[in-house]
Amino acid sequence: MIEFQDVGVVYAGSDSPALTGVSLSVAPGQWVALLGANGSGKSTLARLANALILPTTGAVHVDGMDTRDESVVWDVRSRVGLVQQSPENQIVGTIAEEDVAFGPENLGIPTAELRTRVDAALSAVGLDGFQRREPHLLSEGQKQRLAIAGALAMRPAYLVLDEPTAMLDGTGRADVLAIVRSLRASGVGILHITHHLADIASADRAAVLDSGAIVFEGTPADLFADPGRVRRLGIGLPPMTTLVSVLRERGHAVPATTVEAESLVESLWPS
Amino acid sequence: MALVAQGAGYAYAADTRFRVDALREVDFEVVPGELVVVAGTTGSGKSTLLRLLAGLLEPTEGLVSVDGIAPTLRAARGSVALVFQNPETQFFAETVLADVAFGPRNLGSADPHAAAREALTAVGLDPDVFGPRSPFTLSGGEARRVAIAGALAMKAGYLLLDEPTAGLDARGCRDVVDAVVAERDRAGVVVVTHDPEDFLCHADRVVALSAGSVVISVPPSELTHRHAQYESSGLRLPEVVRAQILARQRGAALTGVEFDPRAAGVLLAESLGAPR
Ligand SMILES: Nc1ncnc2c1ncn2[C@@H]1O[C@H](COP(=O)(O)OP(=O)(O)OP(=O)(O)O)[C@@H](O)[C@H]1O
Ligand SMILES: Nc1ncnc2c1ncn2[C@@H]1O[C@H](COP(=O)(O)OP(=O)(O)OP(=O)(O)O)[C@@H](O)[C@H]1O
Ligand SMILES: [Mg+2]
Ligand SMILES: [Mg+2]
Repeated sequence: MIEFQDVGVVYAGSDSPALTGVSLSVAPGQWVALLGANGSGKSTLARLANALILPTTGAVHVDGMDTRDESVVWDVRSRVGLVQQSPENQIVGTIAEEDVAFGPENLGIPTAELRTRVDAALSAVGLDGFQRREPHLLSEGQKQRLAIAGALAMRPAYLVLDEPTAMLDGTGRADVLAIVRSLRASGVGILHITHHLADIASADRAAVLDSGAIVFEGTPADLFADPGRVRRLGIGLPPMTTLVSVLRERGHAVPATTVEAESLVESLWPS
Repeated sequence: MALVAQGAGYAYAADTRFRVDALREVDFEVVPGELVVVAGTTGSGKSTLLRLLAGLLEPTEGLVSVDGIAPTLRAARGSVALVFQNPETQFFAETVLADVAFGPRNLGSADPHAAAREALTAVGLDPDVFGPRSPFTLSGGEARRVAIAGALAMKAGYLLLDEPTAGLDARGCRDVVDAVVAERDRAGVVVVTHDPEDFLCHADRVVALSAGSVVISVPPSELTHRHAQYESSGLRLPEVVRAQILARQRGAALTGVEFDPRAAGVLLAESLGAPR
């Protein structure tokens, strides 16, 4: 379990805290979505999860290990994979496959298995054939996919994804959501940061940050059921949710969580 | 007056075995007063097209011109503003205010700080709060807004934006869409996005790139007739538009297409009649 306990963060040279009194947990096999306005503290929380930064107050525990304990930092980082918001920040290899191999290599994974892991990870994100490409010569969406592959190859117990689909097209987005679902099914705990409510319709929990504090925690269904609250929380409603609410107001039977055209049409014009 | 690419192509690492043909024979044009949305899947060449139009790269075939001259020429300086997809790579000054004021100062503005403050306000950032901060410790969405403010402050004749709403919250999206659409009154605007939803209802034209070539160039209202072609290049129309296309396939009598979700809901409700 990743446990944030009454966490506060104040960045050096800043007079206002980035996080205050945040408590949240991510259990194995649980998909937790984290939403909130720009500057609300989402990436700060993400960086706390794998000890990239440490809490100013409160504590963060990963499977019981306190991230402030220097002797467990590597153990924490091998359990918690982090895909940062800006993929640039984490590209280390001179070619794509080296980049993906970097993490598992540091874990001492034998060469034969390394090959399998790297190829599987690149394939999962749709970068088959890009093994020998130099990362800085990729398009931004390709870099984002590469960063995700790097985290997957570590086979971490927990995965923190900081806006993993921000640079991806519809297909890329669907690929990432499929990866998240299958990781969850295999027992990985996921903290998923996004601005898109549509991406998290099937998450287990959702939390919303506002100015560094958690102002909502519940299920995605709770959010979808109350578009007014979502708007007040500063989160964008999926355009489909607006469309669906017009139909629901007029008495048509469409589930509030409908975000895909296919399921909408199936509800209203059954084949 | 126009920003034009004619038969333009670009190959990265052209003379090596790593050659990547990122664009091929692209014809593209934007005139002042026009807003063009460029859509395309990952790696289809969108950012490369913007780099050519802004004169950061020279076409390896064909030509690019801004109001009749090459954008790489000194005389073209300041006529095209580009916001990078990765805004962090664009910053260099010590403070946000100095960074945003750099463009207008360089172009001889009488009051670069006022221009910078105005641009920061337009993207929803309080200049008193963010102006004195370092541009290098901003959150992702704050950084993108500062980069957009930097381009707005230049008041260039052509404004090119690479994924301007990626990573923005709901209010940020609205602020940026409004600010960018307002620029059309004095400039030609090109918005690159893999998710055209935010800009589609404001666009004069939608250009779709696939594997480095232009496959579609039409007004948004024509997209529904071309949706098979649009989707065959790996793109997906916004769900609210797809809903109308699918409903029509199931026999719903719909006239026209709505891009606004509320209007689309009303259109679908009307075709359904009273609920069963
Ligand atoms: N190194 C830093 N020094 C000072 N302030 C910082 C630093 N990093 C972030 N901040 C500030 O802390 C606040 C929270 O930032 P954070 O990156 O966690 O936000 P976020 O919720 O991820 O936003 P976004 O949606 O824009 O990515 C912001 O106001 C940001 O400007
Ligand atoms: N500096 C470079 N050197 C070599 N190849 C490059 C370079 N930059 C981009 N490419 C390649 O050129 C093609 C087009 O890239 P471009 O960045 O224009 O795509 P894009 O449409 O902007 O994609 P995205 O949506 O992911 O940002 C891709 O195959 C990419 O890998
Ligand atoms: Mg962030
Ligand atoms: Mg790009």
